[in-house]
Amino acid sequence: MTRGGGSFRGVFALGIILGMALLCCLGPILLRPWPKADPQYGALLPPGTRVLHLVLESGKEVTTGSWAEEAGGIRIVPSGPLVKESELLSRETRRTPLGTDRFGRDLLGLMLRGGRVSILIALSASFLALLLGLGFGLSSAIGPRWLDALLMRLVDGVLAFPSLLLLILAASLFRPGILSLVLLLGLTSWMGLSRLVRGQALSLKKREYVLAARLAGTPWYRMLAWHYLPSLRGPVAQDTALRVGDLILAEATLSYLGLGLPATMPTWGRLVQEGHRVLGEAWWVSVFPGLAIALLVIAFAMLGDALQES
Amino acid sequence: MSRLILRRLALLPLMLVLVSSLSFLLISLAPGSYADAIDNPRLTPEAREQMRARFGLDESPMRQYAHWLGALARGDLGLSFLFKAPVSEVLRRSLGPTILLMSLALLMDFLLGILIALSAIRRAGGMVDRLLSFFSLTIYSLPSFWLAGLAIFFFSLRLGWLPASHMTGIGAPMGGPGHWLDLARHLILPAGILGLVGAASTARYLRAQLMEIRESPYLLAARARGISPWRLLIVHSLRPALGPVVTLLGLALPALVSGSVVIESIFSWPGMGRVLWQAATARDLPMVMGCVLVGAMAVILGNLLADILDALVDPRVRE
Repeated sequence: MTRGGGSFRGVFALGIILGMALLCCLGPILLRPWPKADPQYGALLPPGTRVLHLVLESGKEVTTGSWAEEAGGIRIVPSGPLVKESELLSRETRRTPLGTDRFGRDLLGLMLRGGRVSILIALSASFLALLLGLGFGLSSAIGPRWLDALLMRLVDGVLAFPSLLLLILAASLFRPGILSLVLLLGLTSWMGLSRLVRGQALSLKKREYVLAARLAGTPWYRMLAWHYLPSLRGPVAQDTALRVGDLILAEATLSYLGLGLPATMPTWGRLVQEGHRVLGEAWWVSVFPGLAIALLVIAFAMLGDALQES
Repeated sequence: MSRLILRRLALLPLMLVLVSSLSFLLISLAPGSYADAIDNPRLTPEAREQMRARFGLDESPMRQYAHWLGALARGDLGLSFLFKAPVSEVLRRSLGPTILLMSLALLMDFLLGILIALSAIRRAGGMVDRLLSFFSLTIYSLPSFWLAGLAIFFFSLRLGWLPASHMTGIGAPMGGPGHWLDLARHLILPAGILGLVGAASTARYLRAQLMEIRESPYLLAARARGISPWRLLIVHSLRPALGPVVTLLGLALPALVSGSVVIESIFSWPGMGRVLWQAATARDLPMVMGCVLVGAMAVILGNLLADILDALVDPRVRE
């Protein structure tokens, strides 16, 4: 693979990521708000269904995917009531692009809201992991020997531990909110990075220019800022891109298992779980949120690969 | 050699104490206690005190910890209030199905992973390589629970070929070949998905390893001597690439343990992963701790085994 190929794929991946993030942030604003969910007539409508939304004078709202115009009113088919023209306050038709869930909510709207939460959590947690990984990795490479031995034993220990078990253990102690989930994910995912940073920094330490700078009495913070951090940029960026993808998957898995954010937040993992309950009747409820997760994680993995090549 | 094993073995109890202390610390930090969880608002204060005394919650945390460690050393992990049985007994019951599922998945993980990496590296950069790389990247990035849902949708709901859950079917024969056939049919989907997901990351890792070896001087020398491409690939490249079994297994095992929680929960496989999920959902802490301890132990022991194997095969490690 040439450099050009790598950077093309990198830009492509970055485009997907930014596009999805932008959609999730702006989508809830750009999208016309879905009318009040109607679990009676509007649930589990397939993708692309034309939907009729009626507001009655009594204040009742009806959303349905199948109706028939009749003399004097609109009949909700099959077996629904006849809504008389005189009772009608307003009517509009629109499409549900990705279908509705079993509560009659629009899946696209839910996914856009959930995506914001998932992306926010994964990015903040990987930022935390970045700080911890850099901090621990650099201090064990540059700091005293005993600190290095201690930190690396700790890293070995935690790295051998299946992180999902740790997450489940913590989640069964307290049901996480956004902040605690970020902390939890960040605290369980910095070890790989710290080992990477340590290795890189150790090899830098032996370089002549670094040695010269040290002998010249450069203070440690300037050593870090001028001599260590600039050379670490590439590998750290690559590792972080991969980590964001992993964390999106981890958050989705916890949500899927019902151990993540509270049920009121429609994260992608929870939407897939809800969809699995109606898998036989409505494949779309679980398929689309899963595709969204997959697309975003693939994009981050591709970005990581491209960063590694360039 | 034996010194290496001894050194690693000595580390084992240390790790266990560390892991268990961490879990105990987390539990004591958690708001409430597990007496609260089984608490009944209609309990009289005396009865509540009695309950707390029975679970040893009226003592100081240090003494509680000492008691708990002592009990752990005797293999007593406490009582699970969800399963209404001793934790160790629930674990013993669910260990078999999990080991069956995981070993099959691990086998598929390695075999398929090696196959994919070898076919990809035959013509590096070619069509097959790029296709396989994209395939393994995709599988690696897909949420396994979603993949499992798709598999159930197609193979169970639409085609009706394979059962969607549990280990045995209703009305299946209890013994003989019919029983084994039934078990195998139930194993295909969960073990297949677990293995496929693992194979994707094994293939990614192996391919990178093989690429590195391809550039090495000794492979060039071997090629110059006119050794056939397949022999070059399998004997001269694959063997050194597989060399660090420890890295491969160290990669696969934690992922497998994590993955089995998800897969077993979806397929209602009566193993430890599902027990852990049920216990975590019901906040049955003693049960959760038991599962986490066994999971951690499995990973540590697996790594130890890989270390030993490595030392047996590779003389450089023994030094």
